[in-house]
Amino acid sequence: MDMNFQIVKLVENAKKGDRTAMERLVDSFHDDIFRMVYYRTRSQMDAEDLTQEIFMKMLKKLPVLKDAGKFKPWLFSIALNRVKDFHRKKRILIFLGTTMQIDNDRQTPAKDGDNPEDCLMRKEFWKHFHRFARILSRREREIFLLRFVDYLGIREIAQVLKKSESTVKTHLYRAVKKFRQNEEFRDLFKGEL
Amino acid sequence: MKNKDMHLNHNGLIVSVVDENDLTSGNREHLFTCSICKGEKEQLEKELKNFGLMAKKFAPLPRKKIILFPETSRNSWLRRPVYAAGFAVALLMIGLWWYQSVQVPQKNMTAELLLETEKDRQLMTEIFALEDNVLPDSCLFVSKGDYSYLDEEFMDFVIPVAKIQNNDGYFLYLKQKSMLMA
Repeated sequence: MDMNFQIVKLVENAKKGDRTAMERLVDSFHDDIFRMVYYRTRSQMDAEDLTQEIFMKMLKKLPVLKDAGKFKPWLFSIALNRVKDFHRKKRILIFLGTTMQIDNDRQTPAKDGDNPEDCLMRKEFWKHFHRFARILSRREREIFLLRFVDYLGIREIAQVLKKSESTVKTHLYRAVKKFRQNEEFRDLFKGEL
Repeated sequence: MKNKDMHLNHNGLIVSVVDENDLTSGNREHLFTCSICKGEKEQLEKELKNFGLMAKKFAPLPRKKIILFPETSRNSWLRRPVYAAGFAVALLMIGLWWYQSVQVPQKNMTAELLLETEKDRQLMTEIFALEDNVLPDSCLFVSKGDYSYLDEEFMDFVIPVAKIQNNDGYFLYLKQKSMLMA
C-alpha cells in the first residue's frame, strides 16, 4: 500500500480517536521530527523534550486538521513553531543572564561504537554545518534544511512556511548558490558515503 | 536554437537543481542531451544528498519514547496537593474515631473490674465478719450482748454441761442458753 495513503488513513482514524492510529502516526514520524529539532537545537536533551511537546500538541490539534493529506507539512509547521519558541525563550533567558550559551560542539553526543575517526568527522561536520548555516539568511537556512535535510518537497515547504512556491524556490535558489560557492564545505560531500 | 547549444551557466545549473521545470525549454533540452551539464547537475545533487545523509548519520537517535497517554495513576487526584491534604485529614479523623472506639470498651472493662473488686471486698468483709461471729443472723439474738466477763466456770454452774451427742442435743443446748439469756 502507498505510504502516503497509509498516513492519510492513520490520520483519519486518529481524528476519530483511535489510539492505535495515533501511536502508529507517532512511530512513523518520531525519528524525522526528532532529527528536525536536533538539527536546529543541536542538543539531544532539548530535542527529546521538544519532540515530546510537539507530539502532544499534534494530538491536541489533530481534530482541527482539515486535510489529512497535508498531515506531514502540518506536523512540521508545529515543530518549526515550537523550535522558534524555544530559541526565543532561550534568547530572553540568555539576555537576562539566567542561563548561558553552551558551545554546541561540546554537546555533540558520541554514538555507541564510535571510533575516534568517526568522532572527529562528526565534530568537523557540525562545525562546517554551523559555519555554513551562518552564511545563510534565516529564511534561506530554514528552506535549505527543510529541502535537503528533512527531505520535504517544494510544495510541502510552502505549506509549512505558509509561503508561495515561487518564494520558496527563490530562497532555495539563493541558498543552493551559496552552497555551491562554498568549496570547503562541499569538499566534505564529494566522495561516496 | 542558440540556448540549446550552449552549456548551462552557474545560475541555470542551480535552477535545474531547485526545480528543473523552471528552466527555459532550450536549457531543458540542452540538459537532456549534454552529458557535461547533466554530470555537473548530478554532481551538485549528489553533494546536496550527501549533506543530508551525513547530517542524518551524525545526528543521535532519540532515547526517550513518546508518551501520548500518560498512565492515570501518574495523574491521579492524589497527586494534587489540596486533595492529598484533604485525604490525609480524613485519614487522621478515621484514625481518631477508631482509637476512641477502641478506648470506650477498655473503659467499660475497667468499670467492670472495679465492680468485681468491690464485690470481692464485700465478700471478704462478710467472711471476716463470719470469722468474728459464726452464728447465722437468726441466732444473733441469742448471743446479743457482751458476756466476756462471765467465765466458763460460772457458765458451767448456771448451765450444767450436757453431753452433746448429736445435732438435736446441740440445739437443745442452744435453746437452753437462749432462754437463759432472755
